[in-house]
Amino acid sequence: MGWSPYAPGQGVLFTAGHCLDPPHPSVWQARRHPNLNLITIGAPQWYDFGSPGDSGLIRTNGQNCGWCPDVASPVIAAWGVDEQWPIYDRAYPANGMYVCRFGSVTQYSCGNVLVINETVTYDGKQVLDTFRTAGCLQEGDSGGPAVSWVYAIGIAVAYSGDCGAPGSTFQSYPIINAEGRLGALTIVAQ
Amino acid sequence: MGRNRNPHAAPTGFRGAARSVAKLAPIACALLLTASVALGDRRTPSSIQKTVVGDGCQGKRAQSWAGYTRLSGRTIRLVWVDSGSREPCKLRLRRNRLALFTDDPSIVTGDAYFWCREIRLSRRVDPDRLTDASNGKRHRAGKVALPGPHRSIEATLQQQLETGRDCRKARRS
Repeated sequence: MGWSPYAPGQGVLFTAGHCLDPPHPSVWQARRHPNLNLITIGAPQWYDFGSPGDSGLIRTNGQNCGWCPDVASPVIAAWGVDEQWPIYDRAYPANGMYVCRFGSVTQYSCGNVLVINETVTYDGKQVLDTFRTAGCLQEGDSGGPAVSWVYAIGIAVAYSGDCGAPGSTFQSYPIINAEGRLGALTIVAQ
Repeated sequence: MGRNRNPHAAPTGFRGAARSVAKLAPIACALLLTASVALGDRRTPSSIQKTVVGDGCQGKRAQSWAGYTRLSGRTIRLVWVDSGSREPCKLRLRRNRLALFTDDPSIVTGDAYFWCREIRLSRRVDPDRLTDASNGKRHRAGKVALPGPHRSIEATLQQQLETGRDCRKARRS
């Protein structure tokens, strides 16, 4: 999954960096619902996976896609569900902050931030500054947005264990860190 | 138009603004299947063309499988979904109970791969009566059934099950 930052004159999409790590697709496709056909949305532009972060950018061809992210109107809509979640700004995660996530597998999952600035290792890469949430994520949720109220907080990146299982952990990467890595992109409301 | 689900109760005026862009949808990066994904994939599991009864795997985490279909004779195609950063599951089959295990219980990426293997069963196993050892459920041949949150990707797995396309390759989803 992914979500769009505001980039004047560009169609772009944030996602997890490991989604773009080779072997990665040269052409990215998506569909709005499991029963709908795939359509091409764009191509990878940049990514960072390991030492320090896990974030990436896809340049989208929004003109050919009737429902691709409208970079001028930040809003999240749950995949396959007719609901929207407006975004005004972005913020760093903080301990105790109530964060909700959207994912293609877990759909909609909320909980407090449990740990910030956590270094974790997965897929053989060390990723700095992740934050751990009580809201779960599973395989297929990578790149999906984590938000708190109307603030963009992070990108889903990794997990251990199943939702609800004792000892399971669910990690996201701060969206502000991703902005810093990607440069000159910000999530703002109009 | 959709409704605003934000439990933090965004201001009314803002809700109006959200409705004006109701056509937006998140990009299901998880759904990002690609034509190039099969090229040189280091995570490609090998096909198992042998009897897998008692292969002795010592995995630490049971993994549900999604379904299977009979190909010919005693050969079946088994499909499941798991993180792409995990090694392919190991198999164990005892008395029609088919178990998938992963050795790595540590943190893995949140992406999903569709895994598929073709397996030749021994004569002691009834191909029409396979049970998922992780949850005790018997699967119907030719039909995937995923537990819990994974239902949203059932359609893709069903297609994988039926076509066997890139069966021996991992797919980023």
